[in-house]
Amino acid sequence: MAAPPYLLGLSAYYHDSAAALVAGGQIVAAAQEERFSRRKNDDRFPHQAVAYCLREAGIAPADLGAVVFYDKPIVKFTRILETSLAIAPRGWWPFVRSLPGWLSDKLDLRSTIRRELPGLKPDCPLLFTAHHQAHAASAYFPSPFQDAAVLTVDGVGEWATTMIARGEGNTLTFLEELRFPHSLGLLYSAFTSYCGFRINSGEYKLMGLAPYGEPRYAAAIRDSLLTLHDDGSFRLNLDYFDFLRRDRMTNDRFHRLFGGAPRQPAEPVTARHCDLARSIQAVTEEVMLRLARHARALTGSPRLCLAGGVALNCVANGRIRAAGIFDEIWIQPAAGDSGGALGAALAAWHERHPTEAAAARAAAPAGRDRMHGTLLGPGYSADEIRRQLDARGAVYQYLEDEELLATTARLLAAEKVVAWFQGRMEFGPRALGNRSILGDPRSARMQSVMNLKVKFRESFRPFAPAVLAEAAPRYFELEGPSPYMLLVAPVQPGLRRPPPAAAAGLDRLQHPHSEIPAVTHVDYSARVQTVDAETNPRFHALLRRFAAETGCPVLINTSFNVRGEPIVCTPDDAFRCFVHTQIDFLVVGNFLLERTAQPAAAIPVKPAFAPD
Amino acid sequence: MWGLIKEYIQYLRREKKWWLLPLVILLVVFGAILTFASASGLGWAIYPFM
Repeated sequence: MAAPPYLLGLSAYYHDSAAALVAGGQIVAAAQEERFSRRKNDDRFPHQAVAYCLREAGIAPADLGAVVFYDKPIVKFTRILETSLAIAPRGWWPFVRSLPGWLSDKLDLRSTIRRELPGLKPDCPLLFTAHHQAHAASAYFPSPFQDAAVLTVDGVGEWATTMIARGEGNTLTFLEELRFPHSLGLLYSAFTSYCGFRINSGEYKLMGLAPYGEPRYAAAIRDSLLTLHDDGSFRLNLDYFDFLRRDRMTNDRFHRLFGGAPRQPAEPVTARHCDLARSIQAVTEEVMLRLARHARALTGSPRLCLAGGVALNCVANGRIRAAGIFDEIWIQPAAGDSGGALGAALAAWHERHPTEAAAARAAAPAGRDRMHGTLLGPGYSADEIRRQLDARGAVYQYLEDEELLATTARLLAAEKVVAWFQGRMEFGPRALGNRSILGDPRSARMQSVMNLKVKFRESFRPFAPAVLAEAAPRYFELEGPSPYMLLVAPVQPGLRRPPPAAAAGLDRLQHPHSEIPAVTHVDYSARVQTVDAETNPRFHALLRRFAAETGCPVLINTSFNVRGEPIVCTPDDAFRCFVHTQIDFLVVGNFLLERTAQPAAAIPVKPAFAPD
Repeated sequence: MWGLIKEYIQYLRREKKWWLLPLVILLVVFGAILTFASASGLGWAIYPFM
């Protein structure tokens, strides 16, 4: 029997370039280019991610059955051209400036792909999916459902900014879409930019800031910025935005409406910024709830699949789940553009190989998704880890599994910060226990210690809990699993501690809010990751050990990187990040390293990363 | 490149966006000049005006 064809999915040239390899309907490998190039949100052609995917499968470019790109460049270019014409002459300068990039790489992508990926067979098909088709495929095909409503929401693809589809068996049927410039993603990004954070990476910060504020501006947003309909569709009032004309998102009218000029990145965050964050978050949740209700009504399905950049808004996702609109929700862990590479490959596989796709779907274990815990990136053998550590002159000890778990649990219980590097790297923006920094959530000081001394980031940013799946209901008001840290749920009322009545705004950060204060946000919410033994047995075992040591089956889990740096990929990246921070211990595979034991000669020059 | 132009024309026909054709031709010519200029002896004559 012939081997199933390998399909390579690509996303590139906008933000978060990535590659994903699918064979026989199974996801073989997927990774973002930034992890290899060490440039955050790298948008260049994903050479290294492609090389990794091919290496993982043990194949060469000539073995690929097709290469699939995650959007349609001709349609996208036409949208930009038409938009520039519609607002001419003001929109022409950004358009002219973007022309060289379009004419050299982005428009004639077939030539670009053949040039950047030498060795492809001359007859290897080069295919293109629509941007939201790729998002929808990434949301539905790996989900555990046989039928579902599919909702994709992001900034913009070709024309679509929001799409509702129905997934049934092997087919996706597209039902409705909302078109550019009316975009929830762009609206949220406008506020991200206005509050002084970087678009396409600062949206998490805005979401984290929201609970410190009051929704004072929500009415102004609803009244002036958009006309919202019952079905969740809306029209933006373009009088307040500049993203059609210039490189900036908002204009003077917008600034007057919200009481001042945009915050500069170096300026302090004030109560007004907290209120703005809370207000746009409230409106976003309202739109998402209406869209979810409409998707349910359109499809009749009690299951929902979500993808697109806005699906990374775990607070909105939590609201949809809590509203009970759907019985089950599944969210693609790489919901942003990187996941488009995976979606493109899966869409092509299902379209070109329907019979095999149906067989693979039928053979898949019921109730489990097909993302392999999103652990789809590179992993390293003990020999390779040892070689990389030796090359740095690192001081380490090798421990067998049982001793390693017991020692790590003891260190965590003693309030040590431990970097935990195991197995294959996660695909998507979240570290889920293989490229993580861990800490004790019971410690009141841990949030500020980890933010300021380890991650070098703003003190207001909350940390997320990883919890044993079987113990999650004792700690959080969460029904069902949340394996990818994409749902926010309230901490159980019995564990909460009310702050002093006088505390307001960012001052509330100073007071512990629950029995697990380091992972409890000021509104008693937590961005939960449930860990089960089947998906990540090693991380599950560590949580069990920590629970045996302390009685608490919860750990702080934050991504293994520092501000402005992509999450670490290799053991060498891990070592470099470790020695330049206040992380106390590093565990790489079975190797344990103590920071203070590292000789000065082993510490490499600190790499420079652009601020995020 | 010709494959791309053919595909673009097919797209404009399918979407009934013929009105964009003159602009697309202009851009193709513009792009061709840029490409040609950067790879030929014409560069000295074109770049001073850009």
